This record gives sequence, C-alpha cells and structure tokens, in this order.
Amino acid sequence: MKSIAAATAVLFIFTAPTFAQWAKVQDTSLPRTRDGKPNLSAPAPKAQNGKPDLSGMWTPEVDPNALPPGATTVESITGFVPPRYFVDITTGMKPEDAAMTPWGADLFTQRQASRGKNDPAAHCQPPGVPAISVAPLPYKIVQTPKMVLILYEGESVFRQIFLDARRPVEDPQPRFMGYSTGKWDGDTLVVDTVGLTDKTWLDARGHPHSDALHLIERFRRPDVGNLEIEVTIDDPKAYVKPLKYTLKASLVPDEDLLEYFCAENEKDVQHFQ
Amino acid sequence: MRTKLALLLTAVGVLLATVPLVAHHSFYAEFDADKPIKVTGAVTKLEWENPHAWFYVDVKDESGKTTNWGFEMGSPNILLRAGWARNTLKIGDVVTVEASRAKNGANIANAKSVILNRNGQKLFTGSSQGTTP
Repeated sequence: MKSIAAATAVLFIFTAPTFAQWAKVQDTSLPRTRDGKPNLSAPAPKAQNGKPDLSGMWTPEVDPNALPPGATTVESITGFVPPRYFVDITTGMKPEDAAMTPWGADLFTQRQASRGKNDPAAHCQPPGVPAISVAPLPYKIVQTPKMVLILYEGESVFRQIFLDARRPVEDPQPRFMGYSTGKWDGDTLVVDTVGLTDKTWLDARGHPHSDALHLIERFRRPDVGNLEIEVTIDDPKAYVKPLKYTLKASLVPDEDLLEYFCAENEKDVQHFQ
Repeated sequence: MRTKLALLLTAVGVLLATVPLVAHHSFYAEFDADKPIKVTGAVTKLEWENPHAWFYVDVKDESGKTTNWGFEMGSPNILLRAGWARNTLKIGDVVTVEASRAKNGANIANAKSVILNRNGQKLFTGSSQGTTP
C-alpha cells in the first residue's frame, strides 16, 4: 500500500448550525477577526499556569482518501465520510511499522471475517480510547489545573486525565476509558493511559489490543483552531513495535455537544449476517 | 426558511486513493451494496433517533400493491450538522430513494441518495456505505 502524502486541506463548511438546540452563544474567550468570526490561526490561548489551554469543542479531521474521486461539488457527497483512522489506524504506515504478533494477527483475521458484526461498538458499547477520538462525533475538552476532562458526544461518555502526579493505578478493573494521568512537557500534554478493556477494537477493521496496552497521547494545540494528538500504541502482545499515528482535530467554535445514546433506537443488530 | 441543504467542500490537493475504500464496518454485515434499489413514494414515518435516523416510504408496484420500505440514514447528530432540521422530511413528502438492500431480504435498505420530489432537492443521508462506486 503506497503511503499517500496528501497535503490535504479539506474544509467542510456546514451551512447551518444545529439551530434547534441552544441559540448561538458566542464564546467570548476566543479571539475574533474584524467580521466577528473566530480567529482560528491566532496563537493558542493559555491557561492560568502559562500552559496552552486545550479547552474547546473539537471535531476529528475527515479522511482525505475517503472522499469520492474527483469530488468537488456539494451534491456529490451525500454519504458519510469517516474521520481519518476511523476505518484503519495503520493507514499510511509502512507494513513493517504496523506488524502484528501472531496473537494479534490471528484476532485481526477473525474480526475482518466477521464483517464488523462482532465489534462491541456495533452493539452500542463505547468505542474506548483512542478509537473514540476518531468517532464521527465531536468531543469537548475542559481543562482545569489539576484535571483535564473530556466529554465525548459518542455514547455520551467522559474521561478524566489527572494532572496531580498521582501514582498509577495497580491491578485496574478494565474500563472502556481506562485510567489516565498527564503531565506537561513544554507545550505538549503527555497522557498515559492503562487499564483499557481489551474488548474494544482500535478501528473499524478490527485492529486488536490487549489489556496490557500502554497508550500514550501527546496533545498539542498549535493555534486556536487546531488540535493534534500523537498516539503511541505500546502493546507488545499485539504489535511487534509500538504503532504511532497523529490525529488532527479542528475547533468547532460557538457550538455545543448533542447527546448520543446508541441504545435509543438500535435496529441493525437484528439484521446482521 | 432555508431551502437549500448544502455541504460545502473545498478540496485543496486531494489525491485519489490508491487503495479501495472500506465502508463503515457493520454496513457489510447488514446491507449488500450489490443489491441496489430505487423507489419513489410518500413518507409514512420518520424516526429521528440515534444511532441512525430512519424513514419509511409506501411504494406502489405496477399491480397497485403497496409495500412499506424502511430506509436507514446516518445519526441525527450528523444530519443536523449537515443542515437537516427535524422536519426536513415530513409525513406525506414524496421522495425518490436509491439504496442498498438488506442481505436478509427484509424490506429495508441503506439510503445512498434521497431526492425530495417537490423541489428536486438532494438530501445528505450520511449513509455509512463506502464512497467507492
């Protein structure tokens, strides 16, 4: 698989906000241009401790390779375009960098053969971390001095990243969102997560992980409008060497999260073959 | 009232994929992209709930017999952000739908394209089917 080095700037401009929800409330903490629009290329805001403030509502970048070939008009795109890495976290990786162990490869093969019907996320369970960061639903980061809280619209779940230098949890009860601690490395927030249940798939294709996964995410906010999360999947049971890929997300200014409960009207499972 | 649903795309240097696209995972467990259907009929019901919005259409065949078909779209959350309102599709609206049928033969399908016949407007369906032709 050739790696596609697309310097792709794909911009979806939604013509209408979710006007049935709260009336538009301007975020007064965002720098604005003269016409009142948020200045997305201004320097990232800073928290009280001088570190970048990651707070905001974020939406993952779409997969540039998932657009219909030659798509340049609105009308040609009526389907769902998945976020990058939603389908396959090894997109763009050299095969030797994405190599699985025999255990991992075996599980991956079984899952691919199942056409996704055994993915817990297809049965209304949360996708887990880091897959939830590339679900096609936004998330809100709320940064406080001692904790970063992430509210994910997908399955309306939350995640706490503790910045208070607590000791890592021992013998954790496996959780979908794991147990996260974080510390600043310059302007990068380095987050360590353990205790992730091995039920979850890392992507729609079914890339596996074990319950020994040590997930590292390096969060950066280069400017007001952009968030980057460099993900490292450190899981020797499943992968010969750690996998690395970088998630990008864009700010969704002046909007709020919706709710999403898959169990509300799930009708697909009964038809699965 | 907005009359236009539009998802604007500005693509700078989009390269064509050299590998086939894989659709949303569980699509293939339920629907068959090689079993297309195209029907026209009036909307009888709308389910505006997660994980997928559904709408139902009464379709008459040549003999005059009516069958009710169910069509799946994306999450209302995604549809709202693409410009839908909850009442964009109303009971009684006549639509022309292109969709991929269920593997198990049920009268349901995954909607790839929906046209509102009264004004010819093409609606974003947020279909989970892959975007390869």
